[in-house]
Amino acid sequence: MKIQIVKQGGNKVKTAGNVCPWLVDIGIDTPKQ
Amino acid sequence: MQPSMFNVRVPLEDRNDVFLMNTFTDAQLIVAREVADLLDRLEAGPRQPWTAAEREALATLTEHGFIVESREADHRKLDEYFRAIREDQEQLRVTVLTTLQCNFACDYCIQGDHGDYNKHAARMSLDTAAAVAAWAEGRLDALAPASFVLTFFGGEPLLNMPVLYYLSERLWRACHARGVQFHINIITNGLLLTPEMVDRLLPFGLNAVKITLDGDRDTHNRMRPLRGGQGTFDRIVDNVRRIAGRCRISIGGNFDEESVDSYPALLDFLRGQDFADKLSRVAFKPVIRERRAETPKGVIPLTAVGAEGRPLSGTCMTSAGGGTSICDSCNFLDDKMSFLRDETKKRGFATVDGVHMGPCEIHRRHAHTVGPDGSLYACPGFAGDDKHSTGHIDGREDASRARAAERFDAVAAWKACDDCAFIPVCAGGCTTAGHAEHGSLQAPSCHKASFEAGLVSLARDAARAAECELVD
Repeated sequence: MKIQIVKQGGNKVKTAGNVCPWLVDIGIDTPKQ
Repeated sequence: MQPSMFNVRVPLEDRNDVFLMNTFTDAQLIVAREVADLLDRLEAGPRQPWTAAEREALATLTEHGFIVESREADHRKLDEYFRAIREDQEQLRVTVLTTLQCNFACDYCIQGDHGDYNKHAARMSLDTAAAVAAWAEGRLDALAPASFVLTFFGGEPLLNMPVLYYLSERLWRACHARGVQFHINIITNGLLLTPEMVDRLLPFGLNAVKITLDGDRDTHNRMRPLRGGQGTFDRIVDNVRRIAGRCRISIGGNFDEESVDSYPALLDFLRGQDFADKLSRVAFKPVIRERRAETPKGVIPLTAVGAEGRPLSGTCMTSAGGGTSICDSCNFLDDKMSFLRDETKKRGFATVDGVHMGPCEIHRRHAHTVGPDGSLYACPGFAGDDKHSTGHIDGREDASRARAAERFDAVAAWKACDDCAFIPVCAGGCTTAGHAEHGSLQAPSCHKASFEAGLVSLARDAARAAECELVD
């Protein structure tokens, strides 16, 4: 049965949330550690 | 065992495959239809004897979060997830409104260079900036985060450069002394942006600048003129060209039903510029003007708008959008968002995927917005409105702010979203929008159709990438 992994599941907390994706977000992720 | 409530899927055209995503783990798979069918069979229960191949597929799906112990387990994990986001100390985030003054007279904003607005609009003093810096240093000591993100917003933040430079330089030193990474973002209309300014800020951690272009030249000049009606497009573009390559640049734009058709021309124009490949991201958001009475219950915009045309607190309407309310019963917004995302990608620009939207900073305890007078807010959408201030940098005791802090601390609009699969990437949507429309901080700002449209694009992109991978 074919299962092709496009993206592994991960720790969402570390990636969640820019300043404000709805209104004022800079639109660019801040560099991670 | 049962399928996770956060599973979403898109059948892929022209092939017998399905794109599966779990919005909680962010796992993304391309699977044969029979694998997707397995999830349906599992949902339908009762348990059946599985073949060895099915057991292997189920194990992989479980490993990536597509199968969970129970619905209760999903809800428990969701609660833990939001708690972890709320308490996360890895990053301190502070958005500073250097001023509520603005040099533009945007047609969808009653602030800025209209009437005598600027005469009375608040502006941060250097004394207040020093107090903001001392407060931020206190937060750094209390949290010991790995990084600190300082975002400048307004009004037009570049109208108060002394404060912008002072905070950038002092807080860079504070972070440097504490071994904390420091990043500066600026959200500006771009008119006053110069290479000298960028060069001065780069050693202090300038990360990115976001600039707004509302359509092609003529449309932008109509939407975002100076007070005398002079256009601003050429000068902004020239400024972008001059700073391109020095720091990351994000181009944003607010479209409405009249201006949206000019965006492909803007994209063509940007693609033709010598700085095109130096744009880090291009993304547009809708502003739709409809009469409030026509708004269907529970449907509110991705961009927050103030009722009756009043401004949203005191922050820049450039990003918050304008108008009075939204009617999306015709799916105009979702269609156009999806269309513009595709048009943007076609021209080779990085853009948002329309799925990974949140949760935003309002769900983080250690993210703050600071108004020009040092008042604290839970997010920029509420800044400038005293009754929504959650505290003050001077630590003053104030019953009104304490009550506001409690109200914002309890924000969890997603609890009204039942078992929606998009909760982990939406969190109930924009609280400012929900509040503007429904008068409650706990009202979801639902735009599920937009997430679904984004998901279809994400699936298409994943399928294309997977095909290339197979060819390689």
